[in-house]
Amino acid sequence: MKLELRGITKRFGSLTANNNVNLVVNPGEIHCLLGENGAGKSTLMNILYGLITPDEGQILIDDEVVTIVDPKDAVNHGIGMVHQHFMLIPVFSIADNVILGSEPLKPWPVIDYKAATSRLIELANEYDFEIDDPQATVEDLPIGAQQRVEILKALSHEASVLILDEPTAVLTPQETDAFMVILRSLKASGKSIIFITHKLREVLAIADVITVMRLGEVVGVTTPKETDERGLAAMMVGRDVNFVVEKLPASIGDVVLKVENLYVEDSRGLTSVKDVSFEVRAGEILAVAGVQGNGQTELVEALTGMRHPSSGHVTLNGVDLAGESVRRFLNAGVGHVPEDRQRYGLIPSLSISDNLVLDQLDDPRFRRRFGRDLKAIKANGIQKRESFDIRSQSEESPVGALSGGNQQKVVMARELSRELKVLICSQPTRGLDVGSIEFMHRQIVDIRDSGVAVIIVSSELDEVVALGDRIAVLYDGEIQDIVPPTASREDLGLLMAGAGKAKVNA
Amino acid sequence: MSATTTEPATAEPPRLDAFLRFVVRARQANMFLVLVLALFVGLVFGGIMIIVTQPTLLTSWSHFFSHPGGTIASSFNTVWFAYEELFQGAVVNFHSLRLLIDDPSKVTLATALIPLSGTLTYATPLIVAGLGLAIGFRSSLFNIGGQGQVILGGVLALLVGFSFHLTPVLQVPLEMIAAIGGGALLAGFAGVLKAYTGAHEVIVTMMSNYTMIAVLGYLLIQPLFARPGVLDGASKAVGVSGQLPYFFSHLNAALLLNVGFIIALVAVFAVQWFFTRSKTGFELLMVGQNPDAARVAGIYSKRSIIICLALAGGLLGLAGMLELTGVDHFVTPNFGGSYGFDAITVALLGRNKPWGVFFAAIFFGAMFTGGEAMQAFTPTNIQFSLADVIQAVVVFCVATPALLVEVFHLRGGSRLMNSTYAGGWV
Amino acid sequence: MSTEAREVVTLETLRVVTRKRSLAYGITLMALGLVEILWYGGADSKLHTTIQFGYNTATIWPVVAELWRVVLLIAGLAIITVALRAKEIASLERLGRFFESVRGARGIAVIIGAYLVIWPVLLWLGINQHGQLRTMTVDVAFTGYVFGIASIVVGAIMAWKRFDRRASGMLYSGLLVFLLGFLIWVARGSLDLQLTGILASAVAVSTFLMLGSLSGTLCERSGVVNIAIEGQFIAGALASIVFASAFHGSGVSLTFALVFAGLFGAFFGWILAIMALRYGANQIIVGVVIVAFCTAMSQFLSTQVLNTHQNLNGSYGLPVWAIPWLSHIPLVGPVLFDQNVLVFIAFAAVIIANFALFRTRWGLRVRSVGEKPIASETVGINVVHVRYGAVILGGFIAGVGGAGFTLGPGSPFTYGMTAGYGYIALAIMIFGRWRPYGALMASLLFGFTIALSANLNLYLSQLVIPQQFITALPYLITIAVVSGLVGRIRPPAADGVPFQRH
Repeated sequence: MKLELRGITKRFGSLTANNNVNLVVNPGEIHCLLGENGAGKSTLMNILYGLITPDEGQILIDDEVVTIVDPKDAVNHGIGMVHQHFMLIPVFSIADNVILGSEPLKPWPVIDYKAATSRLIELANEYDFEIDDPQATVEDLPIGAQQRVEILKALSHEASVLILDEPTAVLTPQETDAFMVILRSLKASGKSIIFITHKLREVLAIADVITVMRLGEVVGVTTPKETDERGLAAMMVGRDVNFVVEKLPASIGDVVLKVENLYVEDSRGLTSVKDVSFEVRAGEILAVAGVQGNGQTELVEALTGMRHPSSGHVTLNGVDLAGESVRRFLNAGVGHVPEDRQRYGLIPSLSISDNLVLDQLDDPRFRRRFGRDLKAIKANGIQKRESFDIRSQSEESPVGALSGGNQQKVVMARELSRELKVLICSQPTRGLDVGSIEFMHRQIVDIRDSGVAVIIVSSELDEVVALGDRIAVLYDGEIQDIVPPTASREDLGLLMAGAGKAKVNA
Repeated sequence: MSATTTEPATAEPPRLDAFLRFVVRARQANMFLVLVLALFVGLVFGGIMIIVTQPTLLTSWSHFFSHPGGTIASSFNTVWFAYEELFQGAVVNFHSLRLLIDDPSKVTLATALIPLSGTLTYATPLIVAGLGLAIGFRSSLFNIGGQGQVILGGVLALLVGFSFHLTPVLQVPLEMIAAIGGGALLAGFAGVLKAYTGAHEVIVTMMSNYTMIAVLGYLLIQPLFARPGVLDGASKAVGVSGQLPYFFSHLNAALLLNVGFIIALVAVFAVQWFFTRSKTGFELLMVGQNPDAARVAGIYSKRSIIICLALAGGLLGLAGMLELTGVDHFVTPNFGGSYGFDAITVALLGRNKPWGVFFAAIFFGAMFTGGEAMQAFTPTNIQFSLADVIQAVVVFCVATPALLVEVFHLRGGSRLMNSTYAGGWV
Repeated sequence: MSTEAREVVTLETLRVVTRKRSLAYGITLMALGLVEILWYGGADSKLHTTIQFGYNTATIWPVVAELWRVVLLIAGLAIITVALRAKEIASLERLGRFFESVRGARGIAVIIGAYLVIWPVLLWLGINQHGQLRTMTVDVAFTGYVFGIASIVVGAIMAWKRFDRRASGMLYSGLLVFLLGFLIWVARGSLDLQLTGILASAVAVSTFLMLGSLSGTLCERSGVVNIAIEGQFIAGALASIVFASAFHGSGVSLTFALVFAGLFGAFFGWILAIMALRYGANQIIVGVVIVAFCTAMSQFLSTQVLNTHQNLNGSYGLPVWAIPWLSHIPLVGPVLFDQNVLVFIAFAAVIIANFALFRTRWGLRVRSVGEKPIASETVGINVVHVRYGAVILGGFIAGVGGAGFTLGPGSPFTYGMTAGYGYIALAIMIFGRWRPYGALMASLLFGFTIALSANLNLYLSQLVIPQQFITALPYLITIAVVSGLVGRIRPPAADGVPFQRH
């Protein structure tokens, strides 16, 4: 089956997620879609799968235009998708998950489990999957096995094109190797595969055709023979530096934050930060680079008290805070600009003024006798709105009504108004417009120059290079290396892809 | 509705524009409009209920096509008369008002104001109870155990009330403390279970209602509480020093408005302060609106849950004390009746705002006293529970504004709908 | 990766936990036994209790009856042996596999076998077979000692051996024995212990709890919290009796009255579904408001209309069916097989619902949208439609359950007759872990405590604990249940969460 996307454009408000994207997938080919986070790969695939409706453009199957408005259409047209976050029902058995939506029936309403099981085993054998017990509950399976179930599910719907959205993001290296074997056997049986990733090694190992996307547009189509890791990294990251941040050389002071042998488990109980150690000094910016999902979230949570590390030390000005409460971290002078501002940073229904003091309820500036000093809070709101250029009707407008950039300004303004020793910003400019990005960068550099230690966690390489005085690259929960910002982009790209220190230096 | 508003406009084109503009502006959804429409819908529904439950009216509707005018007029009259009695019973009696104007020597103003006094007296505990519920709602906690907390508060206040014979200045505050403590303990227990075991507060507080009813039943047959020589299950009465003084009983014995109303007003101010100014109140709001962001800001949600439910329970306990010491001064097995549930609807109707709750409770009080008058004075004996039906419809419309927004094609309704925070069992 | 190792570790810890539980349960049982010995055993040794087992059937040939009992005894022993040992008997290998594969089959077989064994033994021990009632007189102190010692022995074995399975089953059996002992003790002296009466009314009471919790289970399995069950009960109760009265309670009209009650319940389910699914309103608030509306309407209609038109609020009971043969089984017969039609409907509804939820396409889809709607959507399931269906069906079932309040006992509608059972049904749903069979068992348990508190009025003078405590027992148990004292309970993951398409 030949699949073609023609001139797909999708806008979310002012953001153009896909701009006139063209893509052709020929039968029996593994087509890699490569790009950084936010390059628009997932949006494109969700459009193809009917989860998002495009603003413009067409989808063609075997050169005929088709309309896909919901996943059912996609399934009927033979398109299957393995989502980055598995669309499996954790408490269901493997068999239940696979047959859901296309259940074999014996007399009408009753599910023919015998037929379902035999079909499942037949499919598994056909593609050499190991399914021990079709009745096993999915949530008890290791991630790799869950992924196989997800693929089986797509195959059982007789998909001829399989979309795999960042399938290796959640896999260990060994599981990834096993996964590559599966991909080859799928290809051998004539399926087309769209493989979304940003890991160069895998792309070169498996792809027939590579389409590289950047900022919502296709920037190149190539094959593994015509290129190498450096070439792909350059294409993916882009040669031009988008954001130039004017900054003076750092005037570095004493060590403020010291992290030693930190191990952190994620919510599933898997160790996602492994033996991480680093120091941050007053007046410098340590940028933590890396592909999303390599332990950044857990690292930041451990550094702000939201998640207790399983072992290791987080020492702030000589005091070990590991395992202490969020309150202790805040009081010790840790500022936190969280990753997902809507969910973790703000209370959308409350006013700007209130959101500016969320974590400063005990601050004497905002207290008056027994209660909160509403006048001071309002005055603070007026002042911050002015100085941070927060665009809104008034300081009493609910924060939920603001644009992303202005919301982030509220978060930043709040954190900067406390006495900080260290500021931790996680993805500080994700989803913001250019003006707000520049503003944020300016603020971050200013706070550095005032003598605060700053940690930036970002998956945007441009941002990391522009801001960082040193860059730590996180891969699979480990710090691959800490390099100066003068390191070449290609080297950084390789480190982010887990190529390791040795290989980069070679 | 929209069809009828456009009809007269076709005759007069110049005024159409202004009129339409007015309609457009009026259709901007806001809470006041929703309240008015809800009341309208409630009254219409109540009217329909009156008509379909009156056999004579039903008969006349069966002859609708021969006498359409008469049918509609008689139906309208019946409904109108019922609502008139409802209003008179709740606010002020027109008849005595006219007598007062004609000849002030015959009737005093006090007599004319008896209905209003009744309304406010009935509303007093409801105001406090509604405030308690509002505190919970603001933190997205659903304390359905108002009844149990009212009972425990009332029982403890009763214990203090008949055990001591101090001056009212001392004894009433003592009763209040006992009642608040009892309610807070019971609800706080649900809070502890919720915080540490994840038991849903709806079930726990619901069950505590029935448990407290059983406990009350047990206590009322114990010698300590039972009124000697009486077998109707009533308790001993609170001593005179423990009763809330009436304001106007010297003018007319039927004016039962008492100091409790002042306490309720103070509670409204206190809760208003708590919501807007206090640190704890703000923390509770944060946890209720966005627990994740509250955690990032260093707030312990477990502690907040317990505090929130305990405060809510304290207010409900206080409501029990006001009910006990305000009017009857003793406890019966039915004590607390529907206060717990009415408080939920009062809080919903008042949109969880202290003054909203205040007026909602007065509305409920008016519907109750007015409903009784309606039952007594309408020739067809329209039952007072019609008032409950109207209330329920009004609350339904206010609690789920989406329906009104859709039916009346209001604009910008999504703003109102956002306020309905949704959550499951855990 | 160490995932394999981790799994082993968790299984091991689970076993440790259950072993600890076995120890705790064993100690509890021993304590119960001690209480039984001291309390019941310490009763005056002259006191006897007569237990009523239901009506006597005329035996024409005592010899045949005696032989029949021997046959039953042998059959019972055979069933138990086969159920437990089938795998070791070569010729019964297929049967053994059946017991291995079908969960619960072995337990049921053992129960039936034990019943067949116990009954003849009891008869020989001296059941009174003359007169209208079949009764048995036991010595209070003696039963106390027997139950107590048995309980201590079993408890000691449990604490010693640390079962990792069956521990809770043992505990529940121990509690049942304790309860039986308590009943025997309470009814000591002159009055008879009406065992069948209590159990039969327990089953009757549990009917609407069963239907109510089944309604909750269906709705919540699809991800919608239905707290409006109480309202649907009220609507069903009122609608059914008015309908039945209007048509003078003939057989056909009673059937239609049930359907009518269901339709009313379904109507309020539909309202809930619209508010929850179309407008994304808070489901709990909508539910409470629906209850408030139904309560007010029922009060208005019953005072305004039914008081003056009493012919619309008559006493029409559903027919009582005595199932041939089965209703003659001692004890179980009158309790389970000699009941009004709604009891059978409720049991059938539970069985059908369990089958539908776990065996059919519809059920799989309902469960999937309640767990992870987005996943269901990606395989082409219309989440909103499935939820509508489940909520409306749930409303229908709750409405039929409401009819049980009026048509079940055959009493007219009175305001407040549902007495909060709709909310208890929700607790039962949680207790039953969102499973129809769980709801069935929990309903029977609650029904039993409710019937008990009603029946203990008879023995009030002999009771040392206040009757109100027994009244409050179901509620206290519920609190314990939702607090997780009976083990970890996991609701459907998407329960109460509105589903938003992209």
